[in-house]
Amino acid sequence: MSFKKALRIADVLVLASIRAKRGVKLDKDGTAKKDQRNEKVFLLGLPVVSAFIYLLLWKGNTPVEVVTSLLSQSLVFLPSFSLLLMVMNGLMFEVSLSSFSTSTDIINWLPIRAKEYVIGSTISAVYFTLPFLMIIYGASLGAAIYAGMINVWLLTFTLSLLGLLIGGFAIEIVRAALNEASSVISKRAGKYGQLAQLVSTVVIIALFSMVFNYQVLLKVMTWFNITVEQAWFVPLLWPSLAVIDILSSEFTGGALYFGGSFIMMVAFFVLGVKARTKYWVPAPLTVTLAPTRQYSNRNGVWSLFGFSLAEQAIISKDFKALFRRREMATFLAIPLMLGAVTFINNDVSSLWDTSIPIFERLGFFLLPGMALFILSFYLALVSVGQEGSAFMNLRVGPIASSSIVKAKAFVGFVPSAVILAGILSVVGYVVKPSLQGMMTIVIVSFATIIEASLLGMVFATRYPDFTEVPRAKFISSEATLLGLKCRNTAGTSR
Amino acid sequence: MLNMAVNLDSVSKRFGEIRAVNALSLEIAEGTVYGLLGPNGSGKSTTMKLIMGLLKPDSGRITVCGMDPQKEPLNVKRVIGYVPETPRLYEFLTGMEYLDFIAAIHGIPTEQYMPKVNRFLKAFELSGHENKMIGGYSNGMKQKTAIIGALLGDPELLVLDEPLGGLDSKSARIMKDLLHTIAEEGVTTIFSTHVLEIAEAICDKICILYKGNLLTEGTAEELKRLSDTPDSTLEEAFLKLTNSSDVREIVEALVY
Repeated sequence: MSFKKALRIADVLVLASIRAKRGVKLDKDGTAKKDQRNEKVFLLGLPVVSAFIYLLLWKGNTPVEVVTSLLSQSLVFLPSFSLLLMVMNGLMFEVSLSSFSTSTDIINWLPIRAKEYVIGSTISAVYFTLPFLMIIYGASLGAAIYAGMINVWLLTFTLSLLGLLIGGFAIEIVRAALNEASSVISKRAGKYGQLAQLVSTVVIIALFSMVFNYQVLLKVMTWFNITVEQAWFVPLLWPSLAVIDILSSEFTGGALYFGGSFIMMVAFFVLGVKARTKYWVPAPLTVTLAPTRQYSNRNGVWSLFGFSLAEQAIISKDFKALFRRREMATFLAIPLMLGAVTFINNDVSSLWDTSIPIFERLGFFLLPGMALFILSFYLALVSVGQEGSAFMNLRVGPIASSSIVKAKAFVGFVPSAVILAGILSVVGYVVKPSLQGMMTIVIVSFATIIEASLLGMVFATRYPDFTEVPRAKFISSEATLLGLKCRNTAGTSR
Repeated sequence: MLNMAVNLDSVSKRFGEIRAVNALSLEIAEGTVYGLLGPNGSGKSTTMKLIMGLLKPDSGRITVCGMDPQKEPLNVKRVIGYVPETPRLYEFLTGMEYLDFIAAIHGIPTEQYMPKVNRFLKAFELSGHENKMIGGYSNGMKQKTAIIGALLGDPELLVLDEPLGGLDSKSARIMKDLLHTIAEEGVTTIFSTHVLEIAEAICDKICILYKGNLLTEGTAEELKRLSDTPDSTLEEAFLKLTNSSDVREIVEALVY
């Protein structure tokens, strides 16, 4: 095995991912610039954030006992959090890859050993996960210096890095398993297999997004600290259990868990290599779908909204894209994620409490409502770019641009409208606003998602990005930023 | 007098500093199988895109079936069937769903396209694969699906960019015979190819483009005569006309 080759693989994977996400910036002489944002955060995160937190605690004259208590909880959580974040990051990377990219993965056609690929792939995943963690490690380091717990921090840091590697190797196993499972399910179950894949992808993305919500994170951390010791038999928790034992001065237990974690990392590496070797499928799947009806382009349900046959065909095609393309699952996860955050952060029973003013109870629905605004906006924003190179089919077809825009804006609006109708029913049933109030809510909320969809279309038509490999891009980065600014302004005005 | 399906009158198109098509004039009669030949970068694809109305000419005039593609884009697209060099299909649709979509875009009634689709699927040996996702198709299957899509709406003009590239020999033969049959019914076909035997076998007329200019035009026999190689192949005539007849020396330089 050549470690040099593994590093080259990591280098290429990192470069491909950065350029797919952020585009390529050129120097004056036309050569591609190297994007070094991650390196900068990686190098500066630890010293800058730790110094900042230390000064903050020192200036605020924070009691050491308070810092020690919170820091201990954080240090216990950090190794497992690092592992979890790595796994989630890896899964997110996997679901955002186009199937074309997967089938042309270099491991399939270059003389690369599975070991070299697993190491290269893990290093590239660490590259993307570590900068964010460096900020968290930095914050904990500042607190550790203040509380005089630098030794425990050093141990936690080492275990967290170990956790990162375990997560990285675990993701290789998960990827191979997912690859095999999805091919078996898709081949045997057709449409239902696809649905299962979509649901699992949406859930993964929603969970990943929630990792970055600090309120959710605090709740999980508290729950984790209470229950982790009872789950000593779960090897993935051993890095955290090592920290707990060291904090309680049980050094033998700590050393055992530390050693166990190291052995587990090696075991995961070996399993990752074996899984890659055995289950990697070099060709895209052949999924057969049973036709549910005789194919016909007769007027369907969308004709009730005044759409022509060609517009209905685009609407129907785009809905299929929404539910069949895994790249699109990111957008479907938005309402699920913000809905879940709402339920985690709020007391649901307060909705029925009539002593609370109606206006406050309605506030419960603010975040899910915002999610629908965002969903409409994003679905419209990516609607043109998601055509990819197949956009040629529309360009050569006898269909006016206005029809394409109309159909695509509608696709951006419908999913949010359906969910909104459900939410409004709950609002009417539970909160029971006055008739006048309810009508205002209905009109304003529907108008808002129509506005979001049209706003998205403005940028979608002006700045589409048809790049598909290695990731589907849909829209240029500049348009995303510009669109987000406009969306926030429009959203705030509501 | 012959009716002209496509007429290009001194058409030019530049991309920055590159002159892709230079004062090109072509007259393609109805029912002709017309071959566009030329080395890479000679302007074949640009010419096709100009005819389709996908690109706007910098100067000159284009008429397709009596219409200006820039002034009546939708009407022109209604009478054209197009197959790009690399099939660009929706990978998340099944083959049948894709054809259903194309038929709907062209507004073709079900009773008109379904029997035709079934005939084509059988002829191209795609029957049994029509409900599979296009993402799992081979390049040849994608090419066949794109060809069926282009033929669905009974086009008056077929524009095919390297149409036989991904096809197996049987399907390629079917395609060649099909082009001749529909040409007899008045359908005009313009296609580009690098395979000169194919051009020689099926084209009524061939034009050779070189660096955006029309080098020459005529039947395969006329082109051979023009290049002073009447008894040799079209390939030799082509290489001679495009000043590429030093191939032997290049290969020798590469190998030795």
